[in-house]
Amino acid sequence: MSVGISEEQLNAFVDGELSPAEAAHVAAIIADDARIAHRVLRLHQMKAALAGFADTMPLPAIPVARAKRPSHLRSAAGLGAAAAFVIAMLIPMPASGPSAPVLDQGSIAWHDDWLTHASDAGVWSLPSGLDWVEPVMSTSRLQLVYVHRGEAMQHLGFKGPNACRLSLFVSESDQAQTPLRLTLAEDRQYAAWQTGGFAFEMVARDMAPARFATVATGLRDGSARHGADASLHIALAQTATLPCSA
Amino acid sequence: MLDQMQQTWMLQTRRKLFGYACALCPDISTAEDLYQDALLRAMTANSQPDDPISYRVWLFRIMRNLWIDRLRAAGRLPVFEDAAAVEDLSNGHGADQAVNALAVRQAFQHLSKAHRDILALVDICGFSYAEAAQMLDVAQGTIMSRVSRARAALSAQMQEDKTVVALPLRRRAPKAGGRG
Repeated sequence: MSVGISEEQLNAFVDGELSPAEAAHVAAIIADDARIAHRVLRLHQMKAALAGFADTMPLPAIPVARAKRPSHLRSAAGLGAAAAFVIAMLIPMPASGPSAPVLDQGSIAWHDDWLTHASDAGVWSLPSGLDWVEPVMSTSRLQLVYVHRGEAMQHLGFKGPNACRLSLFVSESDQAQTPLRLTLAEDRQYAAWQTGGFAFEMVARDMAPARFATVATGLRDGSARHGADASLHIALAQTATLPCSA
Repeated sequence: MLDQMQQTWMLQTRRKLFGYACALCPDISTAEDLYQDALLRAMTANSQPDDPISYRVWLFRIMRNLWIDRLRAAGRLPVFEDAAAVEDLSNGHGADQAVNALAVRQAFQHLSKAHRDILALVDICGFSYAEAAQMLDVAQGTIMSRVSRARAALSAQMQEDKTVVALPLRRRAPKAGGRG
């Protein structure tokens, strides 16, 4: 570039990576040489142009993932293992495009309605056939505080520390099995899967994504093992006749 | 598992992280995959750095390692020509042209993976040479050389591209009677 200055130094100068003494030396050369000054200006402009590169890219608002076969599993105890298991299985897919899952606005609306209107008072027990939910939730320090039995769907509300609230919706489905789909946005977390003739949806607001994914993982795992349990079918059939209490 | 602080750091970093993914990948769809994979990998890590600077470096390193793994699997690893001399650009490559941001970004997309990698880390993500060196496990001087070489390649690419818009360096004098 010039006597006493290299191209590397010039770039480092533009990046603010030179020591004060080196920077002063380069600045003095720049002041004396219009060609170098123009070169520095050009480097600055290139750097500035790239600095805004990320700002022009549309940030995926809702990271979406779906479950596939595990490729690398982590071995850990308890829920950590469950979380690692399913998260490791998660193969990302674009947040936009035809393959992106559509959030069930109905279940989200039900969840929001529960947050707004329903009381947490009372002691509830899990409906018959959903006993497998309990270990997952208790390990996650989530306590059942709300049960709503609809005609075709059960809404279970769980409350945890730090005011975490999570809804689990269970309904019958004609699809045997679908992969776990996770939507982890900043203000809304959603999971859906189907197994054993049942559809499961999970909704939360402002729950730590990792925690939500952990619970979804545990429930998905549990439902896969127990989803075909006849008692769950019977329980849902029984509750299907109950009137709405809302 | 993420605690509240780490979650905050992740959210603060994610735009730059996605920018890095876009810089590394050939298309948005692949970038989204990489971005999401990196976030999920970070969220399920057994242990995470407990200071923001280390966390940021760690998070980008996760993404970079995933990127490298994918390229390795495809047999298309980037080549870092650390031994090559840095070209002196003082007498060419459009030194007399003003830089158009769009042209820079278009030229950037045509750079080699290695050049995009280092420029993305320093210019897009804002890492210092020391942080980039830590992330790439190389000496700081190597980062300095790579940056210089990558910018030289970017400048050359801009010259090669027909998309470079040469902006006039001096304004024309307004015509008489025109609005000045």
